[in-house]
Amino acid sequence: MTRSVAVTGMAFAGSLGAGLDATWEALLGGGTAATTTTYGDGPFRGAGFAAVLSSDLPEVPAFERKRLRALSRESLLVSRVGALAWRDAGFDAGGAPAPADVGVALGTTTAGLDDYLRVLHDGVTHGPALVSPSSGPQASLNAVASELSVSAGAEGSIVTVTAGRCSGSHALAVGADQVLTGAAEAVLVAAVETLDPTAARVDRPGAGPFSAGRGAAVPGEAVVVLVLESHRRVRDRGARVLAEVSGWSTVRGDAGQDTAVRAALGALRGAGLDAAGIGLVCSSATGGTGVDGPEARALHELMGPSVPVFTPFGALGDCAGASGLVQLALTARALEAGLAPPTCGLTRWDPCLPRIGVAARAQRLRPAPALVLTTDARGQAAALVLRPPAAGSGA
Amino acid sequence: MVTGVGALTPIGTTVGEFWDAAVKGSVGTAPITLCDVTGLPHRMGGEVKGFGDAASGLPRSTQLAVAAGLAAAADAGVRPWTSDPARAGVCMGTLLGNRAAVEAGVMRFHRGEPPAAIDGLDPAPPLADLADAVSRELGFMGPSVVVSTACASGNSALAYAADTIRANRADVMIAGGVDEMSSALLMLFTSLRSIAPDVARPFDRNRAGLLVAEGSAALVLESYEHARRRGARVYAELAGWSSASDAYHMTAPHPEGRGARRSMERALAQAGVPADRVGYISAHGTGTPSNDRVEARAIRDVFGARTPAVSSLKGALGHAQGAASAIEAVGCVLAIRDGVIPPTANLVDADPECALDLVSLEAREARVDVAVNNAFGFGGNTGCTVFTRLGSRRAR
Repeated sequence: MTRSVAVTGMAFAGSLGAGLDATWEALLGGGTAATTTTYGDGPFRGAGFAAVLSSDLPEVPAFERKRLRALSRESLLVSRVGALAWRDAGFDAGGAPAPADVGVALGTTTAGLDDYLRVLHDGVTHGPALVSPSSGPQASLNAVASELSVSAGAEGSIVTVTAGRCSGSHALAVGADQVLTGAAEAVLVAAVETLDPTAARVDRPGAGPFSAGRGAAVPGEAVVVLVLESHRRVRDRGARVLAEVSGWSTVRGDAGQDTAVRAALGALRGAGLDAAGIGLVCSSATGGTGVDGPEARALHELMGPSVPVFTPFGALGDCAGASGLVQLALTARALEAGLAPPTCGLTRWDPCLPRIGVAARAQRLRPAPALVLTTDARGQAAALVLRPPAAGSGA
Repeated sequence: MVTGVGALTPIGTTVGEFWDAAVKGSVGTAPITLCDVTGLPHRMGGEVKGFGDAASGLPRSTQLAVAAGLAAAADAGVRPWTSDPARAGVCMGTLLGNRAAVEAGVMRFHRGEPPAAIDGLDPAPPLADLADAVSRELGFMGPSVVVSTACASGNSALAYAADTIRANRADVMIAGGVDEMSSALLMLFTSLRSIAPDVARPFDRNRAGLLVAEGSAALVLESYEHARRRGARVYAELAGWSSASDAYHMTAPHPEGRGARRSMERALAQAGVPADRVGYISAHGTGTPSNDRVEARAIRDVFGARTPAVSSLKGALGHAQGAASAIEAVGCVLAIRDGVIPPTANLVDADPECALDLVSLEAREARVDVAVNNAFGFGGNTGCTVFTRLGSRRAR
């Protein structure tokens, strides 16, 4: 049986622009956000290439929250982007479910790490008694999701998920389950990734995704919040549907093409499709080691070279745990536009990789569902099938 | 179905040791030895004694997760796993996970030690390793994920695993929780003035806070059909699970226990069990003044003035954070198996504001068909699981 949920709200902050529209236009223009920047504190302070958020959205209210200084940067960002998604879904205009029926599921790999290091700094240099009682709890992995639930007044189910680059994809699966089982009427599915201050710096970026001469991937920051609802609820309230997630799969294995293929086939099966039914693929290739090769081989095995493929991470940097939701948001936009954006940084195709439909220019799409494939070098893989909204759906 | 259990705790590094000590009301908290406590006003905590392999190269929390996962798998008879590896997965819950791996080097830096003396400035290890390491050891290739709802993380891992099985994405899931003792954890709770000076006294009139602890626990979950096909021994059924957010405050519980109440109500509703059939509530019961008072109120709101028997293992264990509710889930299934309710260590003078049927100091023998496992965490994240004796729901 095909299971699907509707995406009725979507908001995005990334390194190419403050919002989905700005990001989309920059992607079409072939821009990249990677630049040299200095980040981290204490022993971890250092410079390297990174794609930092273009704005922390200071003009956006975090719902009606006050005393925002108690929130970590990640918590504040997600509450702000969450407020935009909430509005995008029409929830500020009376369409929101009861608070007890709104869930939160958030994917991340780095949430709380900055504040963890700050607790250690303050505890050692000022003494444990002077660690801030408001900032200390921000070090916990679940702080960002908790603050989003407080900001939005979401009293339903809540969870933070971490599974490498597939963290956001797992959060989506949790949210979809919640909606489909009726455990929640709507779920705020979020992902946040800020720069990991403890990670080694990238002194010199390699070539772009799928290109010969790839090296280390440039890290990138991103925040995404989606609103998921059931189709029944969408019909009842006449909501606009941005996209339909109709199959998803999360697996783990070796970091090779077989794991990626398994994830893709699981999502296709869930959507009641085979690979021939797919008209667009969003890959999670970064230009780094460990992802591009297995994904290229997997996609070649599944659908050969003719289906348009793009990856946004040559432009946005590797958005780590937010990758899956970044891909979902941009794929929804691609389906709406009927265009696959160019893959930034693609120069000379790596001759060791089989050819797939990646291009350094925009590609026209046939009307068909899209496959979003997210993998990492540690064996996590996730996939989902995204359909454009059915004609005439929603308000 | 719960078909295997494993636990490493301050009162025992096997399930047998843990349960024997829990039933006796043994207290496992003691002066902290595993991390730097310089400047901390209170230095008692719960550590897993005699555990850890410095040569393994794995963070302590990862070692704890693997040990619990392997023990549970062996107990369930799914090690080695001979079926489709894609149909078996792992979900572990945590608060801070393996981030303590960066502590030693960072603290030496902040203390001004010369750069040459600073080692261990490695990147923070991936949090997903807490599950992936278990998956690797067992050859599982299904979903592998770490979840967090702070101190409710163990229950959330059980919920994730149960949802995964229910959605037919796996036949078997190992689910549990883990956290390790760390300086940052102690500083964090010190800043909140939540740490007791000597012992944790859940629900006691003289309670003065929690004691930070570490540990891990894992439970093997599988569908009824899968367990039946392979002839597995069933400890209990995970019949209901739910989470809810207070949506109120990052560290203070909602004064009416709104999320706690909702978690219990929804988990019981999912289990299809009326409140009067519950024989045991394993309370979150941290020993902080506010948690215990609010939890008691929420329990009375759900169960009425005549509550089921209630106890908290945190008097014995301290508060093992993301591992706590996984360890307590093991306690629930063993209470069902053995017909014994473990006592609340250090509970001498019950607080009238916590008017519950508290099991204090000595274990109580009682048949338990339904056990409720409460867990409430930072950020108002609450979670509740309901375990039932196999067949007891259908027998009604």
